[in-house]
Amino acid sequence: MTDQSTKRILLVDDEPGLLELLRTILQDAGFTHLVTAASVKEALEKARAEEPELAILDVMLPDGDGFTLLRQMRSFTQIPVIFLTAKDASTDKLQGLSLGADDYVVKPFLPEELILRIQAILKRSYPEADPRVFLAHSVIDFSKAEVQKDGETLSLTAKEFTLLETLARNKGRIVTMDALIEAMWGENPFGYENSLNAHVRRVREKIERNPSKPESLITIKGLGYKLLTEKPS
Amino acid sequence: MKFLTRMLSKYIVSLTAVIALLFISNLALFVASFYGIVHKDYGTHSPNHILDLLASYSSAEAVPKSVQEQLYEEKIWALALDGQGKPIWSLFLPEGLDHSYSAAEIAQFSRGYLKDYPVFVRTSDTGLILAGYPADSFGKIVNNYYSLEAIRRLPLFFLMLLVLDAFLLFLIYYVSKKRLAKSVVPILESMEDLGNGRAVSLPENGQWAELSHSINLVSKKLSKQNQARINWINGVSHDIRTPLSMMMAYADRIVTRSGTPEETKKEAEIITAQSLRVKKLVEDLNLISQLEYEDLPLSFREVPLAKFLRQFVVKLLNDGLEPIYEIALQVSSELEGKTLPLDERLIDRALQNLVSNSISHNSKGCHIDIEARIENNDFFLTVSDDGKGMSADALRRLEGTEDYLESLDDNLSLRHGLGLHIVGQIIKAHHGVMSIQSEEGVGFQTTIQIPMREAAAGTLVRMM
Repeated sequence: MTDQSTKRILLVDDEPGLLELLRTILQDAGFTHLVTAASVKEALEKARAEEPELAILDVMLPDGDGFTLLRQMRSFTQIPVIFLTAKDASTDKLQGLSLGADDYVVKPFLPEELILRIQAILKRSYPEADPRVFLAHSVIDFSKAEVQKDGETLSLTAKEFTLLETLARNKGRIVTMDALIEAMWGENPFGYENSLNAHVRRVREKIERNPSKPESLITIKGLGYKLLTEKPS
Repeated sequence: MKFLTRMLSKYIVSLTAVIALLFISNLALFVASFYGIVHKDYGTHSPNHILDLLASYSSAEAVPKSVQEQLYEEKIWALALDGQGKPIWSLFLPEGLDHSYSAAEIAQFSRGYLKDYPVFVRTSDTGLILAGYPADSFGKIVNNYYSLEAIRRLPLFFLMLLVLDAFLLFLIYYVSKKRLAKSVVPILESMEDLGNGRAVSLPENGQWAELSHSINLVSKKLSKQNQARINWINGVSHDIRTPLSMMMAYADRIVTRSGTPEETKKEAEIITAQSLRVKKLVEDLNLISQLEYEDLPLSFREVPLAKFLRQFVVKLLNDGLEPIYEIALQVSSELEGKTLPLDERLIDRALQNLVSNSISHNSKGCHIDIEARIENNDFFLTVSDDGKGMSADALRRLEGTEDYLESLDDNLSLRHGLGLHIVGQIIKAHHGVMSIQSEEGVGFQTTIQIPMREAAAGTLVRMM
């Protein structure tokens, strides 16, 4: 969290009470560089002057709307954006996301949920420099497409690399077999289940100490797989 | 078109009755008009009767007085001729007729007239008896011969004529009524649509232009009222969100702040939980009003069923399902690779509601099963749990719950949420059906059935 806490975040909402609340929630979560604005005009000025690394925008603002604000911001910055709004119509959501917003959160929201979404987006937008993923009995180095296990270096094939990379991007979360097949073979996932199982078996032989009792690459029956990672030692 | 068939058969029955009535009244009119004449001309006044009376007499004096009086009164004359055509006796014979008649003359008048008098002839022991009637009393057919074959065919001819006439009459009647009914059907259908709360638009031309105009006006008014209701619910739902955000966030801060007394924490947790309920209720009300009044643009696309269900369950698990709840997905093999045109967002919402129901009604935990299969070309999706379930009585009440937005029940309660009602509306929008089964202490099960053919027909996309 230490890296993320230094990110500059722009908060835009015309409701002073909510703006204050957002500031408090984010401060409680450790974010220290917070900039607030209550209108489109003020938000554009602050976005130019303060160069935030993430923006949380309301849609209904006194001098315009958040969608127009994002369009204008996109002319000079590509920072990740979250819409936080009372507008819950699916057309609004689609408009926001199609403009390139990274998330669309409808009020009312739970503070914890908002923080988790901010953290996820920051993690995705500003990836960590370390290309390694630590597992129970091995370390994957994505920069070299290699696995280090018990002092041995094992190379990953292109498909194995894609499989592990997709799982590592969602570490700790289940990834459906459809998503894995799509990542490895393309759009139509039908008919590749056996090939996926074969690749999973081969990857387990490389990353697990006992592939028949996997501790890192876990099968979630009927649904998909999950990669459990460890903190670097 | 059931109405059309019913109407036509009614018309046919009434037509038959009208024809029968017409026939009987015609017959009555005929009898009333001709009874006197027929009775007279074919009764005691008839030539046959008069000739019967006269045939047995050999002289005028022998004819009884009463017969003579009748002849006089009815202006009938009589002439008896012998075998050579010479007069034997006569009664009231007009002038110029008292002479002998040749065989040719006899042959001529016996078929027709004697000096304009219609004459009727009968042979007697002495020769011939003639009865002459006044000139304007009877018409005689001079060339009176008929083909027996034609006469034999007459009954069949009349029968066929009757059948043909009846058939033509029915045909004309049927076609005209059908045309009438066809022009009425769109109006009746639009009234049925209005009755179901759907907007209609009829072309305002033809014989029903005025009626169509009135129906269109009612429809516009209904749409306006519905839109006002949607806007109102939408507005409330929108305006309540920001204050609710602040309530939830501050309550959460009280809970997470270190040093908050336990009792205050519990109270703040209650505020958060109740705020979440208000949030869900507002969202549900908003969605249901849009679904009920068809204000929600439905966006159908081919959804790969097995993939969609796996994604749904994985999202639930990734979002952190409490460990007291277990969820399992069972997808039949024939569903792999199959797609169905669905509004994915709405079906996802329906599934969420079903799973949420199992969770919220079983606070001590339960096992939730999602099972999907294809049966008789229908897509079946069952969400079941092994929780506390519901008594037969409660289930009946739930199934009998009126449409929330249409209900006039003052005691209507939203305590149990709108979850299942929303599922029902979503499935209805997919031309499917939802059924519920439950047993107290055994569990709760909801089955969704969506016809694959119906959905594939692509008739479901509705925009308003």
